[in-house]
Amino acid sequence: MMNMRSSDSKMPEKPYPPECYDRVPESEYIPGNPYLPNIEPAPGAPGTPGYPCVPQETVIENVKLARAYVPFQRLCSTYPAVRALCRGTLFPELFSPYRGPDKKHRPPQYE
Amino acid sequence: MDSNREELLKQLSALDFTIIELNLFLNTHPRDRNALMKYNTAVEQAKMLRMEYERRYGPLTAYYSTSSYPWQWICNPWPWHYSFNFRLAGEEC
Repeated sequence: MMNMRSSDSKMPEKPYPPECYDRVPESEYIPGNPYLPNIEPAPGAPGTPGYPCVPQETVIENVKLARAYVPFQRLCSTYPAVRALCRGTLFPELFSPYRGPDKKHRPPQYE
Repeated sequence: MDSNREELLKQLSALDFTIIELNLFLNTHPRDRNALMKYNTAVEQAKMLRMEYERRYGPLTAYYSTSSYPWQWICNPWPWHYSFNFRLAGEEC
């Protein structure tokens, strides 16, 4: 029933466009931390000083072991639709790609 | 594949992804008016693009789309064929 064309059985050279993750501009990263994107707050409220895009927890009281604490997301800026599809998230705060070399090897880092 | 068709499909896929993202955000932030506005806008835009696409190039689904005669759903390419799908260019990323 299905009429497979010969061109359709050809695999693409790469499973995803390299530009999505491999050639992210340096400004997307916080220096020294390759895992967090450098979030520039959008002008105006959410994202201005005192109201950051990512709420900065300073005190979590009564902490327990083996519990994860996740800051509550705020709506800040959003990517244009096609960029969001390419990067896998609509929210710049959630885009944190690995640098190319870090995908293969990352030495342990201690403070 | 027709480059207009490819572009239209890309824009529609991107909007559908935006809608899913805002849907998930609104599940935990149901009173965020800004997010709700973005969601409603994206849904309206996607609705228009979907109508435009199907008017020009045929049905995107087998059950929520009307069809001209003869039944259009069986026309190649099918959505899982490589030639059906667009490639994301680097520029937008």
